[in-house]
Amino acid sequence: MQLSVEQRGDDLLVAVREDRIDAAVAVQFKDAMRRATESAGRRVVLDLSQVGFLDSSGLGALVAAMKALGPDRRLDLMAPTPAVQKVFRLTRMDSIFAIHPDDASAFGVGTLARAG
Amino acid sequence: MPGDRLTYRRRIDATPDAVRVVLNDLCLVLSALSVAQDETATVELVLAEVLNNIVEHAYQGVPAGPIEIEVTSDDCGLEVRLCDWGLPMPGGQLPPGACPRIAAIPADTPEGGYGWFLIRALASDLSYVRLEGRNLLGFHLDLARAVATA
Repeated sequence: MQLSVEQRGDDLLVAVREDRIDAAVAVQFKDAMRRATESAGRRVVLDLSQVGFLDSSGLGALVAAMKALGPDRRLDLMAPTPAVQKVFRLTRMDSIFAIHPDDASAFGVGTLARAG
Repeated sequence: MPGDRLTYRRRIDATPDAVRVVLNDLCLVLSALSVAQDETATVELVLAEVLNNIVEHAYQGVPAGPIEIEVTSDDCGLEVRLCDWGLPMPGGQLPPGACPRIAAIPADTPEGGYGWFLIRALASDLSYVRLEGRNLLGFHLDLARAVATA
């Protein structure tokens, strides 16, 4: 499970470098997220633009990743593909997570990016 | 011009990797038959959910038997039939699949229970029978246009 990490001001941008978050990799995703976000600040933004497929196992893993951040940190989602958006919509995950269509709306135009 | 019906049959090991392989294969078959991408995605999702359930619950994560998959086209979409030799469905019935409730606080958000909800939301005519040591699951997936292979 490949994730890439980039500091964006006080936020952490984590990009999923896999095309599926499914039953086959749900546990690996949770573990990788925990490691990647251990020292994250108040917000983690998860870039899902490369993920073409997410099933209920993947959904559960996202919820687990959100809970693992604890009550003082948040997990936002960014750029879900249409198939993944559909799963979010059906399960009303769009009322649990803030879902940003792209980088500009997640971070605001003009946000300074700092190599982390 | 109606063509031949699609009949897709596979027998796979009950492992997550074998499930991925057959899902990819079926998606390629459907795309080649000009099924729309969003509909192919729905077929893939529902198949993933039912197959993962068989792997995790019928076989309890131990691939002690195969899963047989049959997908046939009809006038309004696809009829899917699955057979496995694993444990019977608890209570002999399909789970109701109510949508897990949105929790008041994020920490209480459920991590499970979404699978059957998605299956019931996207598939129709669900049936389950336990017969001679086998689980037989069937359902229909509606498509906008009938699939034809000719």
